[in-house]
Amino acid sequence: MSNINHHLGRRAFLKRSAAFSALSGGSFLGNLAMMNDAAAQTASDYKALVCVFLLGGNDHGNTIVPTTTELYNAYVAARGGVSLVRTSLLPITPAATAIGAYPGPTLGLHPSFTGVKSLFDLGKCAVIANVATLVQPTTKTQYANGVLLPAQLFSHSDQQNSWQTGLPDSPSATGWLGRAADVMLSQNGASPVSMCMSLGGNNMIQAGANVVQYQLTNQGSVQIKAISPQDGFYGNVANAALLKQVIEESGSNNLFENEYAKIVKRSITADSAVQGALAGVPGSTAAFVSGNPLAAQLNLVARMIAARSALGHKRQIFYVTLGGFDLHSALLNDHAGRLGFVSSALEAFYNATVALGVASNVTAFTASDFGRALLANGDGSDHGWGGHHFVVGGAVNGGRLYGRYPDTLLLSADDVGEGRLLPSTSVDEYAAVLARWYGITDFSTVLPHLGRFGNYNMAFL
Amino acid sequence: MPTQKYFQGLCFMIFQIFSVRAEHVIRLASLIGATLMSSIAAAQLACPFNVSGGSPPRFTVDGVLLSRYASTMRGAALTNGVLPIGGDVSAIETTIRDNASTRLDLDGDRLFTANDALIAARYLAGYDSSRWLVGITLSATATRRTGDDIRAYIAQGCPLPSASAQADAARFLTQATFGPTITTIDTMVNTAQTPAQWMDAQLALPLHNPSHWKYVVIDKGPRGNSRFINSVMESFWLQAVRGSDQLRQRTVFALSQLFVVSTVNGAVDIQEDAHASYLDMLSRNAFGNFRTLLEEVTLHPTMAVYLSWRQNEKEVPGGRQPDENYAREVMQLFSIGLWQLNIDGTRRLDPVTGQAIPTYGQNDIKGMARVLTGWNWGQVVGEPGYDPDNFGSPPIRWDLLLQPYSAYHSTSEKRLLNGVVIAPQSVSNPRESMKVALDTLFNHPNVGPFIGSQLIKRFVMSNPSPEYVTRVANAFNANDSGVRGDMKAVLRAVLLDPDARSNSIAAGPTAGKLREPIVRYANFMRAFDVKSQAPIIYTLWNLEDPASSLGQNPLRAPSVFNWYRPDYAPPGAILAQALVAPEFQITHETTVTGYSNFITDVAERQTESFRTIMGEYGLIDEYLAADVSAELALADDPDALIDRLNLLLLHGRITPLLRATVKLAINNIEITSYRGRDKRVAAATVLIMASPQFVVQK
Repeated sequence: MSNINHHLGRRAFLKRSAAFSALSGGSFLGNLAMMNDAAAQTASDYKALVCVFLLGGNDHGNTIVPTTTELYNAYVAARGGVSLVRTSLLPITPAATAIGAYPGPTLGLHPSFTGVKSLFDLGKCAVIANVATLVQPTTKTQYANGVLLPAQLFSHSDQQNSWQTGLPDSPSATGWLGRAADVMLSQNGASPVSMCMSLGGNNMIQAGANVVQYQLTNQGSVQIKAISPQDGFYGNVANAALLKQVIEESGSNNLFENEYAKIVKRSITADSAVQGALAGVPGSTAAFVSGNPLAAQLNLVARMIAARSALGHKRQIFYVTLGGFDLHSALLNDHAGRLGFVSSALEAFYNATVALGVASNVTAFTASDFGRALLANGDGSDHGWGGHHFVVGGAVNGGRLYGRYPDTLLLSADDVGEGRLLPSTSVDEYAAVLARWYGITDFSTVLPHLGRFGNYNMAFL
Repeated sequence: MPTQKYFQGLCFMIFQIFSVRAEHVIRLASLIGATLMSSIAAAQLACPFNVSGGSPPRFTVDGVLLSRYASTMRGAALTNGVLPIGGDVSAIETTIRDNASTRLDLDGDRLFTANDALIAARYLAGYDSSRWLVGITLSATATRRTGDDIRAYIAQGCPLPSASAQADAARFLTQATFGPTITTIDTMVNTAQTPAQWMDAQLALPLHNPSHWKYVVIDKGPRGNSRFINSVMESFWLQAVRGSDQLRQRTVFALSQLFVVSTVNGAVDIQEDAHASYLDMLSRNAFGNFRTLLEEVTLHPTMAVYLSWRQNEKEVPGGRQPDENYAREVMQLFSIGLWQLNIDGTRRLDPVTGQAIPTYGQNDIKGMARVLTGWNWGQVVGEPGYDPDNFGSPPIRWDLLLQPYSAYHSTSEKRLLNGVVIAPQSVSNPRESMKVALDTLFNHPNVGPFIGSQLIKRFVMSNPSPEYVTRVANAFNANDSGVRGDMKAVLRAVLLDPDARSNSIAAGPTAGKLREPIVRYANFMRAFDVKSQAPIIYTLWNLEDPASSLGQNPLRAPSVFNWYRPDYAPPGAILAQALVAPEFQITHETTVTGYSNFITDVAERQTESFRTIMGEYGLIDEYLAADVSAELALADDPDALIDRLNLLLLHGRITPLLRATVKLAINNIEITSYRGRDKRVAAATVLIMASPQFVVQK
């Protein structure tokens, strides 16, 4: 992309190479399989959810394309220069679900979605159609008449927030995965590492009332070098202790200083636990293709899953992200690259969980700010609402499409304007299936609005 | 011999003092021994010129002693011919040494030099202050630079700068600049400059020379040789750290976080010329009017490419619609925000429903998107390829604002917010559409509180009182002449507000803001005068690795939503109190570690001895060098070293606990050990800069 990396100082390069070689070595999958023997007895009551958040609003219109002649032609008419060639699409044939045979049009996946297609065909990936934030079940007429809607529809920051809090019409200090973690907290005993782990920075979805999310890098945790009792601070061991004291105790009445010191203290405590746990887990693998930022994160997620026993984790929730989906322009080219990353990373991750013997204990799912409008704006698409999502894992009742595939014709009952889809499945309903699988039985705190929906049972897990 | 030496010294002095003019030498004869001193006021006697111990101080005795001391004469050489043999030379040396860098530092550069001795001698000789500086080249760091300033200083009895005045100056400069330096602090204190006066002077400074465009595009030559996207990062740091127009620099950084363009995930990821031009545009508008700023942000090609509205075409009925990207963000992020606001920044509530009221809806965005059609690269009449009708592929010009191509502009009705409607145009008029749209945004009552509160958050505090926001919004709404949108008035309101200046508010439990990581490092670079070894290249390219660096790099915000939202609150105690702390959005277990490691690295590697070691490996060119000579000189005096770092980094507000800990750490390092002085300075710096006390600017 830029030439920043070409210009990294030699020192930084050496440092990174050293870190890299320490992490790599051996066959990742082979070693994981051996490790799995030791962990096998706990696998049955272990579960992990992995939220793959596609930042910027995924263009669902080009992710899944209807391929009947009428709908495909309408798709081309709406999309113009950003439409995909019909023959390039990867056909999928959704099998029947609990409520009957798939009633919708024939469908094709984006040509970059080869990995997702094979997972779908394998029955390990399900499509959930037209999901987004809703305050209550909403018809197009109700939308036009100004029924209560999620706050600030079509705005990135607000819709991300609504997806993550599960409370689109009120402010919230917590997210639905964080609240689920609160309920399951006792499962992890006194583990010094949070149940909620993020490789995508601070987020709302993992914020709990009690659970505090923990940030990792693609290499694991990072150590504050100068507090090392072995190496000392500039070689001075006594000063290492003084530095530790200074940075983790603010000794102040200031709220921000205290918060900062708390984060530092958490970082120090968790780091030693994570370093220890990951020490026995092999590093990177060719299965996670290099140069794929999502794969790099999921590689570490796989390692943290492999290290679950050492971490004292019976439940884990991960948050990973991929940016670059806000494609108002250059959509055809850039979207292909983004979806290629998603597809390759999800497939590699699924294979890693198989090798670990925990495929049925780990479920990954996608989320995004919103779906994008079907009507093109030239060489891109604008902000929309509903969008299609993917759930991957050994426990997934895959090869199927859940929810209702929308009428993609412009001005249809599913179109609130310019092909912005009125969602037919709420985030609450989507989240409820994931949360129930994770062990939640009482949804009153996790998804307080769930009762408003009572949609049919989506048995994708 | 002694007598001869005395006369040599005296003649040397005479020539210096009187600028080598013969008539002055003659005139001097009548001055020596005269009773000039009788006119010296009591306050002036308090100045420690009377180093000989005799009273009153005399040119022929004390003036000579000071000059000789300044030219490094000591012992008998200091007093020969001036004082009786056998006098207490060491007492005189002690007197001068104890006052040298403080009260005898007449020009205010923290050093007692030949310049100060000469000025003192001219003063003692009774010369008018207008002539004290004749022939003298003051050091760059001198803070009393006129005879009047020095006379005033002497008239006050050469007072030691008050610690609280220094601390106040340092605190103000922490908010208003990329960090105080000893010189900028001393200048404010020694010239009794108020924050308002400082701002007046800064607001009057011309634009930085060279501009970003000159540094990045003109001076670097063709792209790909030494000119890359990195070049604009070099230019950013050069101006931010070394520019004397610090208020403008800090303002541009604040504006760049409001009107975000980024090299991350965008179509302007490698175009250094685009970003150089954009930063220059922010610079030239930083002290102008917000209406012009908003227009130039909108029409700047870098923004138009980043948010994909360049070359947008009018709608096709029933088909392609204009891109809504910029239409949305110019309202949500750059002008009015999502919710109707009261002037104090709180949300207006619907009197019936009690709900907050959105500022616009989807239809307003559609109207705005139609406004934003038919614009593409600017062209210059008469240049090769000039063709005002060539909408398809005019030449790329990052240095010009976009221009309209009216055939491609939507002529249909455009509904904007607040009931403003641009009627269908019988003749396409893109400039008129743009003017109405931007006027509508600019005049919306939200702009003052929306932009004002965000500027407060960039400069001063995360949680301003409603009254503070009101005062800033009022300044936006009307300056002293009733003009709306005057950025100078807004900046004055932000930085001079009683809430910004109050030390008691700063001591409160919810005061201050997290320093942005970029600002923390800029503070370091300014405090210790960090310069590149090479003459031009300022090698700061990638600081965003969260594990080993700052986790924040200029020009590389993750999206148009900046690194953090102005209303972000970390879950926990801050959110529970309904407070915000934007910078905590990028503060987590990884970045706090990265920052600690980073500052540990730079504090050490920028010391002289470390650079010497690196030089042996041929790596010296990669390193920026700090000048910590003043700190190294204090390495054997822990209290004095802490005093200096406390002033520079904590504006004098170090807690007793942190002071005691730092002192302990300094004393843990044997000064005589290998690189002991360096390590003392570096360790003290790290302990302070890694502390929560520093990270939170109050």
